[in-house]
Amino acid sequence: MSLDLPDPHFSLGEVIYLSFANIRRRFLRSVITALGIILGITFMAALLTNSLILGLMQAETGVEAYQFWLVGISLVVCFGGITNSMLMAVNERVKEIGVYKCIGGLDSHIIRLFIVEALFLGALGGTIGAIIGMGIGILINLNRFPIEDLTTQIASSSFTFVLMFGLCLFISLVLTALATFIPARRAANMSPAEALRYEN
Amino acid sequence: MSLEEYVVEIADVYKEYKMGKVTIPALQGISFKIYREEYVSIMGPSGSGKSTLFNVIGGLDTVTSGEIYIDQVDIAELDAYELAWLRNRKIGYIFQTFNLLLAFTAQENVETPMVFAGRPREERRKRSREILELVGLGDRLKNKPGQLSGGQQQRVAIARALANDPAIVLADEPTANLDLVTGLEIIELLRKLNEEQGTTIITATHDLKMINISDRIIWVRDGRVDRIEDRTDVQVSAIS
Ligand SMILES: Nc1ncnc2c1ncn2[C@@H]1O[C@H](COP(=O)(O)OP(=O)(O)OP(=O)(O)O)[C@@H](O)[C@H]1O
Ligand SMILES: [Mg+2]
Repeated sequence: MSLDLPDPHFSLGEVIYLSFANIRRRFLRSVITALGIILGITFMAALLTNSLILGLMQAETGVEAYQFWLVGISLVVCFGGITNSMLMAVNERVKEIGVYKCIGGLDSHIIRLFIVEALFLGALGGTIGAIIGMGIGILINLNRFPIEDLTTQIASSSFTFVLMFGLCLFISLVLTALATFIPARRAANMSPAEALRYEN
Repeated sequence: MSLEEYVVEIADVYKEYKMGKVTIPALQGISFKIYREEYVSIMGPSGSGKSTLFNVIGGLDTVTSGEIYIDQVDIAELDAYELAWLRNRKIGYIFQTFNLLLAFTAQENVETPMVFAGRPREERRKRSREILELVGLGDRLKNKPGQLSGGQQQRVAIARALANDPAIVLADEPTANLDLVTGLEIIELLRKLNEEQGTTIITATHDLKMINISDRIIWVRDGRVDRIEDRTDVQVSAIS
């Protein structure tokens, strides 16, 4: 209005630097949050892989009928697990957001800090979860099919597996970012006094 | 004194808290002005509205009606960025419960306002060290709040409030959680700040020790200004 201020200066490099510093400071808590993400993605990746292999082998194992439901449930569990981890992680930091606001943090800057932090955990958790999950998905099929058949099938459709890895990572990133953005924006929209008063 | 001399002006401010169907009137028509470089204590019984006043003066909470001017600017008309700038550069806040970032070291706590001010990393490091030395914590830079005593934490909070050289320091019962001696040290720190840097200091307090160094005391009761006294008046009335 009348203050004639310079443009806010908050470069991406600074945001990334600060977010990493925050993860390092709250290392144990970050590991627990990442574990929540890993668990969700592992479960989903394992069931997706299993379903994919069953499809590839065109096996008559009698479980195909359930595959649709299993994959559906795995998505729900993954969604719930990740959302819950991130919501809790932000919820216990509302006071911190209040402090940032009191000392001059702009809402958009604060939200950016939280999102970058979440995206990093999401990328890490998504990658680890997808690798473990796909490993499990393959392992549980080892005694179901001859190993040579299995390897040739997987090798010939390796692109599909890469796609699935990408899908897991993508879901992890989108869920962590969303489940952070929504509560972080809600907290940032509070007045500073209100956010400082907030008790979990 | 000219109008320019006012740094804070509160005009007929009302603040209500709504809790479901109940409305709690915390401020009921408060008006006063504070001169530049003044040291003002806001005193009053518990529940009289001091913290509420602290929050609305500092732009940490909105008013129900009335106006608050900081340097002749009505803060209700500021946009989000201007308000953040005000909290960042113009006003430094000190809280009864310190409100430090617990995962951050003392130095990182002091650096944070400078982060939001967009100051470069090297400058932040240097400046935060200087201010912490100023408040007597030059040897505790790397300690987290949990490793510091209450008085030391409050000094970190004061250092943080001073990070961007604010014209106004607002303090809500800065000595309430401290013992007598530590409280006196904090008061002395605020007095020096006021005398040497000319920072305007506004403290809400129960602490009668504050009376001796305040230029004026604003007594509030039930969300209204009860009376405003100059220090000399208070001392006279205390004697008689
Ligand atoms: N967040 C809130 N929600 C509802 N009512 C509130 C809230 N904050 C304060 N109040 C009420 O507003 C009135 C003024 O409270 P305030 O905290 O401003 O008093 P105070 O003078 O700071 O008291 P104290 O000396 O005990 O800190 C009180 O009746 C209090 O109960
Ligand atoms: Mg209070």
